[in-house]
Amino acid sequence: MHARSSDEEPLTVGVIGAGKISTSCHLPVLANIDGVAVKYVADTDKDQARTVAKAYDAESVQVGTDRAQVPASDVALLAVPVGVREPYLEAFGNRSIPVFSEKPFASGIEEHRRFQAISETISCNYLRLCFSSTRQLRQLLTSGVFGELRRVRYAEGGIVGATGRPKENYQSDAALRGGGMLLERGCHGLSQLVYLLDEWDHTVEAVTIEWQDDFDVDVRARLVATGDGRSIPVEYALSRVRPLETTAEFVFEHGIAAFDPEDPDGRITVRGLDGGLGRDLAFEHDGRWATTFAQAAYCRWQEFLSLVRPGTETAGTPETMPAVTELISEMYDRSPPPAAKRDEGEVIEEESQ
Amino acid sequence: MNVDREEPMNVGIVGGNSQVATELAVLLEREDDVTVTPIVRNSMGTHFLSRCGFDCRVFDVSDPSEAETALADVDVVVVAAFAWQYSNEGFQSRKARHTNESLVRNSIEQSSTGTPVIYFSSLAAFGDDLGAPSHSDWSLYTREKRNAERVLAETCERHGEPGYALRLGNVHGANQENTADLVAEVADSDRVDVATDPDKPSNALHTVTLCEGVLRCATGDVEPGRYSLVNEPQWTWRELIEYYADPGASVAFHPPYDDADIPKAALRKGWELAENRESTLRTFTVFVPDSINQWLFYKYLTFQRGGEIGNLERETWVQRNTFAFDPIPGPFVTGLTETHRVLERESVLEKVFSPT
Repeated sequence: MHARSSDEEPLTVGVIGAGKISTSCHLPVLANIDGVAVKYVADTDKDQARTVAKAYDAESVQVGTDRAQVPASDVALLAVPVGVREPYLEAFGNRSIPVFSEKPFASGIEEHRRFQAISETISCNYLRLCFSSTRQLRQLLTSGVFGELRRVRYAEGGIVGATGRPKENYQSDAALRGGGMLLERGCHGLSQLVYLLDEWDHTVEAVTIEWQDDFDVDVRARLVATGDGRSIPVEYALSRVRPLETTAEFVFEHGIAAFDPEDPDGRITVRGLDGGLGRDLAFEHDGRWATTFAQAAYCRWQEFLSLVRPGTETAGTPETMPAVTELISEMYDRSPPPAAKRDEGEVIEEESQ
Repeated sequence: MNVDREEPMNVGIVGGNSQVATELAVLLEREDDVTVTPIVRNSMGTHFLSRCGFDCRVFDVSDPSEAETALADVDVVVVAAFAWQYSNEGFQSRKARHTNESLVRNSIEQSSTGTPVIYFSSLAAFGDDLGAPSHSDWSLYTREKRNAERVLAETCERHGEPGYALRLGNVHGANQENTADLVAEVADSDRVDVATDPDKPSNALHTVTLCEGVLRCATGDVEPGRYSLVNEPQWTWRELIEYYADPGASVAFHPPYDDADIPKAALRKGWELAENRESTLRTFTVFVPDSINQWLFYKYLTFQRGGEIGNLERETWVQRNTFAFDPIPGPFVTGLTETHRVLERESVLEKVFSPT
């Protein structure tokens, strides 16, 4: 790890990427963490880097082709599209600078392993793990108060209309974004599922992905979680073209617990099997965990900082979650876009001739 | 505009992927002799519309050359797009103002001569006339909408083109957040309590009526100008809430304090002032006979307990800042079919937008 001259000096953070996630989330959160100072803000857009850096009394850096030119810092935030992360990770890895990376962590499991190998200390911003509802549901699962878990239903999304994005943005570029909806958005919900069913193995039994050109717009999957000597089905749906009701529903032996996995303020509701409880009961939030996105980002930063601050007890929360990347990779492999299937067919046809 | 056309009327919707525009597109497309071309700035916003079979165009109409291409064969332009001050690029009020002006100006100047342009303004443009603190003449959204209307009027006048500014009421429909929020609150409840006067006009506008209003403007049945657009006739809050509540549900309305009742209003204000000065006022009670102190105390308890009871959370307590709005003024788009009748016969929205 990059040596700091004194424990009284703030921990310096280098920010790579001055886009929305940095300006709306990370920078204002970092400004509210004691003992932390933003050292520089780097972006390919020098005006954006300058405007943002000025607001946080930091140095502005325009990123060029040589990623190793970014200044030194104690830790680095990597908030750039997944397609351009590797050079930065190499640069930081060579300098032993811990990295807090935005999600998705990697576009595939091979890349994921490669990124892990580059950096000594690296974490990913799966901030939904810090939602009060997510933590409370994990407590329910580990306590066994409702009996054995029988099945899970997860649905997220709905009709996506206005995107709020300009015409040219990284999401429109397949190479930059590294994947589609399942990678960019689905990783959040899958991180929650994997975290909640910790120590279970997760596999894909069946998957159907609807594509428009090279972008996945609808995913329906049957996953299987295996653990504790048994397997349970996990019904998974993610869409931007179907009017879905977003919910994560856990059916136990003695009841059903559900919450909105996307809403930091969502509460867990409990109902009986076949309406046995009468009216649904709702949990109060756990004040130790987040009910807003900013709080969740703050908690996730604290977990990361516990890895890098000397003498701090580590939070013990998952860092990069390779199981999430594995699930996504497998779903994409089993239901690729039509163009990929055609290419594959052409290769097989050529080989057989 | 050539009204004697052999081809269907091509309605280009700028910002065609917004909630309102998406639903409007679905409704317009099932009309005879109408085809819809959603015009969207970002390809990521085309997925649902494409899945519904629409042939979307990806162009940024705030750019004149892109607008020219996007609007080349369009017979009517609906401008549903609106640039917000806060976006992925940060907080940029001036840029948003410029974009909003360009969207309107280019829609007029880059479409064919005689093409009607219909701009979706908002009841927010009424500002102070709404009678609600959230929408004054100085609210940024109010000023943005008024400014866009001004650009529409000036540009249309300069070029001699037909332009319509429609100040839309609170839009309801199968794809609308207003409706989803209301349904989430009132559906499946045996009892619904609503914090408003039931007979007060709601300013609701269902998309089926919006569609009809757009068509009347598009076909020239309404003279160019600025109009308000709400359900026909205006729905009261009772009609709107009961439309979405369960048929067997009991719906109770609780109008807020009527400040026209001067003695009651004065008494309430008096108690509120006294509460703020309680510890000081108590000092003076030693100079007053206890019989009067007792009387005042019991009167105060009635007021204070009333406040607690008023805060009791009912099973379903519907509260909206739009309850404070006065009925929006006209002139209104004329010749509309009764909204209830159109809703009864319209089923396409349920098929397209119902959750699966």
